[in-house]
Amino acid sequence: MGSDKSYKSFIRGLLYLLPSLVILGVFQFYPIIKSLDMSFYIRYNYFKDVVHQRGFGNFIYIFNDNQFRIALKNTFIFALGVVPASIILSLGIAVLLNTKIKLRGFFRSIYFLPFVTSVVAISIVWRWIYHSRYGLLNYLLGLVGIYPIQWLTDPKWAMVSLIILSIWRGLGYNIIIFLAGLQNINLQYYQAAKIDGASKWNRFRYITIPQLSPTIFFVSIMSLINAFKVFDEIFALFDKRPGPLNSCLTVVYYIYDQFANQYKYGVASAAVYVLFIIILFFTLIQLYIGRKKVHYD
Amino acid sequence: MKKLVAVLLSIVIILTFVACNKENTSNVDVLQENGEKIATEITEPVTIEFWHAMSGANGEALEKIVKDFNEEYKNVTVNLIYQGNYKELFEKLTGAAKANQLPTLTQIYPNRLSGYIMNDLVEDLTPYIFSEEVGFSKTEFEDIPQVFREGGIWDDKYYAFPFNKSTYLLFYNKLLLEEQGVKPPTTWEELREAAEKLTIDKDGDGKADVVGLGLQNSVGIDFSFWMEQAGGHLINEISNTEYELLFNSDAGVEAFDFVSGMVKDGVARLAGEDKNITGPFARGEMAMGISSTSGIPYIEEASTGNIEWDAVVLPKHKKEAALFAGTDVAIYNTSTAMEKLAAWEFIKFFVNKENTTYWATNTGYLPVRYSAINDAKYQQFIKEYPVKGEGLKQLEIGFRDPKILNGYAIHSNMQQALEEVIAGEKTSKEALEEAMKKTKEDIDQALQNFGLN
Repeated sequence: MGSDKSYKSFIRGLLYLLPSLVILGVFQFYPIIKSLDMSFYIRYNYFKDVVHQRGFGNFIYIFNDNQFRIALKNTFIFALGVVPASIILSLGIAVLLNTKIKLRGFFRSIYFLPFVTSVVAISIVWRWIYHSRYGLLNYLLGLVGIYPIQWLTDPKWAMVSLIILSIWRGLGYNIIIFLAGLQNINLQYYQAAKIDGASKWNRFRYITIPQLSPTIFFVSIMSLINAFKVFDEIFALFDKRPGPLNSCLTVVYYIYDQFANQYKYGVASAAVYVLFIIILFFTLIQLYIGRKKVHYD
Repeated sequence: MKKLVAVLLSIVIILTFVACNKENTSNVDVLQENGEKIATEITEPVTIEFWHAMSGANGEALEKIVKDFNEEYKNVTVNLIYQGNYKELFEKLTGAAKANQLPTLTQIYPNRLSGYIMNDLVEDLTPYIFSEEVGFSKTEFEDIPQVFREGGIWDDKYYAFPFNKSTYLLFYNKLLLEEQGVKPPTTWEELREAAEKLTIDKDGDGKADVVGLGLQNSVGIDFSFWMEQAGGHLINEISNTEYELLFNSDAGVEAFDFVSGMVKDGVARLAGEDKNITGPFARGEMAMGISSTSGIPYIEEASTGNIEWDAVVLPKHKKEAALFAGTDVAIYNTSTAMEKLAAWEFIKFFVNKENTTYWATNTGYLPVRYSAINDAKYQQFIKEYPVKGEGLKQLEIGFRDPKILNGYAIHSNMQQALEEVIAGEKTSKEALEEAMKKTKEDIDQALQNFGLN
């Protein structure tokens, strides 16, 4: 009798879930499983979907491919450059926006704009900002006597340019998340601290940071994953090329190039899984740290 | 429990997909077997899709020709579908091939078409070309310059037809050359000399305000004409899967040294952050520039009111050679016989004298018929816009880029190599040797990974 009822409610629940299950199945689970399978196809006719041979060849190929090593290195540099700076900056701005400053709403929209603007439009503007002769950035640097920098054509600076653009672009999203987190902190903590005579810094350090830790944790995971997946910005900023001398060749660019231009469908899938394992590894580390440091109240 | 259901459901979905795929592939096979005889008459209304990547003035000219065609051929409707830039178009074609949704007609580069030809997805145009009912007469066919006709041949069969053809020219700033008393160079030596004379530091700050020669960022990608002029080749293509890379030759080293040398010595520069040379050339920051004729409309637009310019054929070295770039059109054999014939009719319509003239006068591309070129109307046009005639002088010395699967890797690795040499990281010899090794790996891996060798 009881089991009959739970069976019925199970079926009903399933029906409710069906639409999202179908969409997830088609656009998430199927590609995940298929690309895992594909990473072992070493002879595979993609057009006709015929697998001639399976094996580990694709993994061996990418680890012997100098380009893949460059891509890995660049991706790590990019993630290191973007994630910490982006979190610190957006946290700082969020705290400022959370105080009662004038035009608060206006600033919130301003910071969120880059996030919702198309990458192509952004890159056109930034190509001009970075222009070594006519660009805004070099003009401003010139005012303080800094020699013009070849932002986009010097392999040493190209990655820096990409990192700056990416930090700027991701700021808005992080700020919104932080603001939401900040507004959830009970004001009584601050009032109590003020009565105890805690300084501004101490209030930030001992109330805001611990109370905000789940949000910081979430943002850091999302930022890291996004940093490992960087592609659009490169494609647009360097005109469909991976920057001068492959200086901005990242893993996703490598995957795109192998798949869309070089007919190496299996190799691209293998690279996808290497990237997946790297991201998984770092997410697990973050989860481990998170469990120790994050306070959920 | 929920997890289990999710897994089960996804398995069901996957199985359905796999089943769908299987059915579709078998359909393709059936079509191929039936597709041997070509239709010669359109007996019922057909609508075909034509995927292209032409935007701006080019797109407008194409739309006009398609509109005329649809009006003239009552039974046929060509549905023009813009798929973004070339790379986007090719990506969509890959997806379409996989989903068995290929259009009837598409614009495509030879090295991108090879993969489809090797998979028997492309209609052999030979029976159409030589058909008595719907084909060309011998004189008509030979009215199309050889460099264009040959570009469409794989295994002695015609699979592609010339569409938007362009070639490379040396553009120059009339005033700057006059001031320095420099004549447009005709050889590499003269080019180097001219570039040196035309590199000018006006305000004496130690930095050149005018650089002698401007090169596109893709100079390494489109390097084949330098290579050919130096007497070398990129590749010897024996068949669809057999080839021999040749770029690490004395000619290759000479060409690399020559081009990179000019850049390193500051008498030439790449477009760099300006994306292409149009901007700096039109601002008078480059006295000369090497670019495809497809850029003519943009150079014209940007230079109006700024500079006066003209263009001449490429300087020669050990021999004269000019690369003819641009895409071809091909018909996929996944369409019905009637659709394929309709597409063929459109191809013929597009390259007829009148339309190829219209196309060439309204875009930066070239007419593909001698009769159109020699016609009084086009000759008059050339008198008014001499630059539109320069490219045609190169027809007899023209060649096309490699057709091999993943030929992209050749261009991409050459670009990388040239960048390394310019940056002073490697000598020409080292860079070319490494590029050749990497390219061989890339092409072999593509052939193997794609299961075609």
